[in-house]
Amino acid sequence: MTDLLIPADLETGSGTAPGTIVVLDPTAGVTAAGAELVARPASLAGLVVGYLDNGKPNSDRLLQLLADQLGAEGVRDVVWARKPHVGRVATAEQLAELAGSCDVVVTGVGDCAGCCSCTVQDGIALERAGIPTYVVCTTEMLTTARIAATAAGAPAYPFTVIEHPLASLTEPLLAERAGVARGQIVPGA
Amino acid sequence: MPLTSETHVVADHRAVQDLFTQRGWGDGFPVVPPTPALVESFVVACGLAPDTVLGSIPEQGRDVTVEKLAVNAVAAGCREEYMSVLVATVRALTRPEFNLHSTTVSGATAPLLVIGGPVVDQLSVNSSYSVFGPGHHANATIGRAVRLLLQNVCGGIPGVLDRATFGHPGKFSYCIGESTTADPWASPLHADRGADPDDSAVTVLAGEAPINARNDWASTPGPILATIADAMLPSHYTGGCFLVVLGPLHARVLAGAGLSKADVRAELFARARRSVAELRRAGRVPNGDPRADDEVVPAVRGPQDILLTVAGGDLYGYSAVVPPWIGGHDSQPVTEALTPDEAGRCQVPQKETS
Repeated sequence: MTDLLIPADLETGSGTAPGTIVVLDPTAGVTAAGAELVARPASLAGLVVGYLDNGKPNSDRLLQLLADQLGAEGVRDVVWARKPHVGRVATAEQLAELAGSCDVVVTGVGDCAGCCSCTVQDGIALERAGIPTYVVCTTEMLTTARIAATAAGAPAYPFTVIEHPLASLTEPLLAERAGVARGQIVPGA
Repeated sequence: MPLTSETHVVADHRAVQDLFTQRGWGDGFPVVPPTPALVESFVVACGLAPDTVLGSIPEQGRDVTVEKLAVNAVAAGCREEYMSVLVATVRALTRPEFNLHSTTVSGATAPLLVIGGPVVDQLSVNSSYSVFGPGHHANATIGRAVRLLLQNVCGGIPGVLDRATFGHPGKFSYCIGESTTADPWASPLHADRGADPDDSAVTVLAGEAPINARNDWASTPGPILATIADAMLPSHYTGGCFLVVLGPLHARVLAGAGLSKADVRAELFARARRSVAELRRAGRVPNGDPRADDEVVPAVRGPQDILLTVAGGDLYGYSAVVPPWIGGHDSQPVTEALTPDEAGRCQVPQKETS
């Protein structure tokens, strides 16, 4: 697609050869600096795990089932939090509270374009605070999640991915999805 | 003037169009090439420095600057005199309670702009016949500038980050004027929302497509209110705010019978409701919902969640209902007044016929 652009060596000194048109880019770059990702623990044994429910339908149940399964890994304690607005980033206070009380955080589930971007931003904000954070999103939302991670300064952020959809699932299917997420959070579990 | 946007050099006008389409910067219609000279004149027109940050979108880690607004306003075909209305609009859209990010990328809404006050006439914003339709430069291009901004600064590229199932035609442009002559209460929407009635202001609301409520036969308020309330019933029942655009004939009947705007809001709130049994019949209640069949569910949480304005043509008895975003109360309407200086910058040569 770049062949529309006039190569620089054909431009005049002022950047405009006769007859050509100079246009300004209408898009805005991201303001975030690059984020350093925190190393993830090899095991959850002895750790405090925080769960940040983004408020999407079934996210609470999925995270609860996941917490039940991760409990078998020797987790010392769990901390629960729920966002007041599914379609916005978490408040600084809520993130600070989690960062102050947890060793790792699991957040999700990003299963729509609005909430997924926000959940990714929350996860990377926690990483910036030094907390390894697992962002659970659905397969359909991977592109959205990748765009959000790039905007937040961590384009290579590793996601915990479960199959779409989520909201309509019954308990057994939710438990299955939780198992998939567990396998990505604790490899070999 | 130090503009900082990246520049792109292309061969001709057609290549500009292709560039915008290929990169997902456009809405499908031809754009006006945002050349440095044009963009600079738009920045100058609003009296702010190009790097002034008008608002931020934390969910996408981006700021909206005057320069980016100007680039998109030029591309949308705006006149530079519209810039101060757009500046106020961006201030409104980027307030956290509007939730610009999520309303842009999911659901089926576009930000509807209701422009009120003296700038309506100063900029020839249409507030009369076919008010949601084409034919008026200010409405068409101010709304379009917002659309291009949503794509280029707010991530709303259809099919990429914007995953709306349908969207609606207002996503091309969704901008109406509030009538300065047909409002029998002489009380603009922005005054109801706390701004000075003499000011000019923009109210933004994440709106689905308008639903027409026709009642041509009633000369008393009851049937007209019932018709408008009925048009509110396809609501999502998630606690959002409706905009009700009262047509001039309906407004005249309501006000003529002695109803205030507060009375109209209260009457609509009382009428726009359904029983759980009706919702159940329509398949709109999840299985296992514990509510009793005879429980009544209002379309909005209270009269304050119904915004009233007067606009449209005065030949037929219509009003229009603009339903809210699926996320309901997670997006609130926002009203932003123009400062006297900003309003003073909004003046286009008046049409000879007006």
